[in-house]
Amino acid sequence: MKAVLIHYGKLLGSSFLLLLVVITILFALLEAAPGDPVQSLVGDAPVSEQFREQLVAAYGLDRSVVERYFIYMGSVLTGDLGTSFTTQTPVLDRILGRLGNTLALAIPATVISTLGGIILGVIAARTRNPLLDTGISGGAVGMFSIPNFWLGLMLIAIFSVQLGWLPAQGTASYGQSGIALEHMVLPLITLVTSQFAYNIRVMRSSMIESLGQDFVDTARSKGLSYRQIVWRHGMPNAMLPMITITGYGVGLILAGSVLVERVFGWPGMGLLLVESINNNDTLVVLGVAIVITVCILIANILTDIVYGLADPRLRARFRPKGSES
Amino acid sequence: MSAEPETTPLAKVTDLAVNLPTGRKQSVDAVRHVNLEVFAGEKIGIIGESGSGKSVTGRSIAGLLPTSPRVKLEGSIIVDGEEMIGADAAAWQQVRTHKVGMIFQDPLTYLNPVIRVGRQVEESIAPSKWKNRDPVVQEKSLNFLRLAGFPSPTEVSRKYPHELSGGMRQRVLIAIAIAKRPRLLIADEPTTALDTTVQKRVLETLATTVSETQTSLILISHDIGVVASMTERIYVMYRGRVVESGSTSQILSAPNHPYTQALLRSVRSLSEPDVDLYSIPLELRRKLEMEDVA
Repeated sequence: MKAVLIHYGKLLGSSFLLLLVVITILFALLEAAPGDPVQSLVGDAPVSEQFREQLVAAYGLDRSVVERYFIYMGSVLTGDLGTSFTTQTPVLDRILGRLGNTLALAIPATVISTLGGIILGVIAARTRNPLLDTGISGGAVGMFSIPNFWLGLMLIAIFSVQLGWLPAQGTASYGQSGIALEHMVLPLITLVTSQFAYNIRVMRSSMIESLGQDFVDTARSKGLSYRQIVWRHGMPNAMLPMITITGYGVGLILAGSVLVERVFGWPGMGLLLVESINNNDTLVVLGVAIVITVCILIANILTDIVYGLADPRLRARFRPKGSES
Repeated sequence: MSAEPETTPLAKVTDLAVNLPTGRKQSVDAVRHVNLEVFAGEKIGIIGESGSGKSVTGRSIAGLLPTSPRVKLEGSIIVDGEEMIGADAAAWQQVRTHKVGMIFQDPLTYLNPVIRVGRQVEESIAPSKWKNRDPVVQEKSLNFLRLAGFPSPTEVSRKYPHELSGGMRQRVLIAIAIAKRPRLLIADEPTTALDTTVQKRVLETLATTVSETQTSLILISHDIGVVASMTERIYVMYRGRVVESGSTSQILSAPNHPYTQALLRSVRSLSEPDVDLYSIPLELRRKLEMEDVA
């Protein structure tokens, strides 16, 4: 038990260090990027030089980079991501207001792409019909090759503009709040496609590999049916790579959601990021990046926990060496 | 020897030929015109070098050849009175569930790494009781683990394969194979992957379990010493054929076939350590190959 705690303590610690490194790099990058945050504060209206200097002093922009870095780090660690230049509201509030919309796409996207990938991957791996296998595998290669911004635009062109079946923009009809199911369909398809295709391919090859293992012969010699062999012996072993892939997939889906939210006018974190970059709202950009990083780190830690539960050989690392009997 | 003419053998292989695919268009005749029989309670051995077709013969009887449609079987395999060549999947499944058990060479890779040892034995006793575990079956599996040489089977049954040593894993495979109470046990190189000290104990376990459960045994090995100590009759295989068969004592003391003679000479003797290791001469191999083609 103690070894388990040490393992996860180390994992938490290294995740935290990674977060600090990511913040530092982003801070440096944004510092180096062109653009003037004061301009986004005052807007396009001409202002006096005096007013401009007042603003610079009020936001501490006259201090050195190093000073501002440590002040920012300090406030981030206390949970304060600063105040948005454009709206004058706390950055954290703005992000949390959008986080729900992003997760409303990202979580179903992860579930669908994982479950769908497992099911189709297993079907492709165990079918004796070569056409079905080729169809699924070939379809997966095709789906994986489609760029998601293009797919999103095509879906809008076909299903919204031409056929008029599904709405193209926003989370709900105009004047309504909340998220309407029909508004989710197209963004979800766009977000899911490539990850889904990737999962199919991984699951297929992983299942084929585990069904070729020697222990399958032992299972056959026990008189199990093919079906029983696939589910009892193939599946638990074939799932191990899928766990890792799903962990990575969370990061990929969050990254993909920036594009999808832009294409579908979906007011989530990704769209907030795009808006903030356009407005030079540096603190919001940093804040969104930090929240995305935290989401990915949490996904990584969960992946590690689930993998430990699924593979007893990994749990062995928790035991002190030499205790095997 | 129990081979009386009026008793029918438990398993009888007649004129067996197995063709296995080796590439997209190539295939190999792994087994050619093999005749073999084993009677109830009898222990026989198949010896021969790598590639002689002994494993393929064993797997044919156990119904564990690759499932590819390009695997071609000809001849006759009769197990417990039933012709198995051309039999459907259900008939084979019956044979595998109840009649023939198999022990494999590599004890680690033949156990499922993510399933506890106890469950893997239970599955062999009652394949259908996977979801609702039956305490009676669990109790039985502990007994078979005990029979396979684990003095405290409860502890072992909770372990995963990677937590066991090579010898222990091989005992688990023995427990799995005997747990369905088969009429015939086929052991394919059961001790080859183990070191010599463990080998002896695993063989003893195998011998006692087989005689206690009245199971017939086909022991496949390239190790003549192992086969000699365990069996009543021996088949010698070379290039996919049985070149000689007979009682173990006769084969060892007065081998007829030149290949058997050469094979026996190539065993390293501990009592004569200065003698160079004999290897089967190339001329003999060529000569046998010529006879084969003719």
